Amino acid sequence: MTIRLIPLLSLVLLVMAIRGGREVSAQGRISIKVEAIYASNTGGGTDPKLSRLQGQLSSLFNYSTYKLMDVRRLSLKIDEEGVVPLPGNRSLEIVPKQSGGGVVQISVAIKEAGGYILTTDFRVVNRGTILVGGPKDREGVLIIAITVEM
Amino acid sequence: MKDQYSDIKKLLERYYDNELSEKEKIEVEGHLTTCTECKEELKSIEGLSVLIREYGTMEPEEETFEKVWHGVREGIVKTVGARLALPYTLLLTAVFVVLLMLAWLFYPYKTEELPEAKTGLVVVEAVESSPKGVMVFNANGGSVAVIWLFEIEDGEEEAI
Repeated sequence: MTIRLIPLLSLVLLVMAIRGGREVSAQGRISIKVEAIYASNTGGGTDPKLSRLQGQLSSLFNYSTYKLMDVRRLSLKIDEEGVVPLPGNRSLEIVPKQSGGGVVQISVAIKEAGGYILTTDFRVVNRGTILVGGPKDREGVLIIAITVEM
Repeated sequence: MKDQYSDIKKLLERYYDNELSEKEKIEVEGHLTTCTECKEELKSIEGLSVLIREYGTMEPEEETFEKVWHGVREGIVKTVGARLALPYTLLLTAVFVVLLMLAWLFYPYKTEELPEAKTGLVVVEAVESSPKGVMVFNANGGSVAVIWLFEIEDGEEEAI
């Protein structure tokens, strides 16, 4: 009887191992794209590199110029912090807190020389974008586009 | 005399089957010339042997054969069936367990489910900004969330 059960137990262990593997991959890394955009009214139109965001930017804000200053791609695990340098001696700290069902919960903080100017938590679906704007930069402002890709 | 009769009677079957030694054979044949009872006994042994030969070589009737074979078959089924029952149950159990595990394995895996965004694809849950003012709004049907920071000067909020 014991010998007969060995293949069955092996199969159970194999399935559990595969299932465990799937659980690990399900809790895998989350890709986050951070784009730093300079917005101003100095004239010059929209940077062609911002074609994906052009419609959103022009419908939301009244700036005549949008220029992509920097793009950073992060691949983070849950609770792993990523730091992205921003223009004006600022930095963005981003931490995926939880994921499931195609939704990611993310914490973001923006730091200046004097301390944190923003801390926020938000939930975003795959390929969803959140725009954080307002910090002054030269004659314009800085807009940070955070896009999550799972 | 009585003892000799008893001894000879015991030897009669073996005599008939020609299994006696020469000495015993001579002794039995000598006794048979004088003993009527033993002669009768030998005849009855011969008659019984004839009957056994006759019926022993007879083919059973079809009906009798069917009855006997039915009994034998039932006996075989009971014995073999009992032997097969356990492996068959084990096999069914194993198949069921395998199917259950496959269903479990290929059922879409879900981590701790976050509630779906109620107002759109992006939902800002908490914002804190200091010393700047902050404005949060969704646009494009909720597909974009905007967090806008602005300077607060002399009690006036100057949105950018």
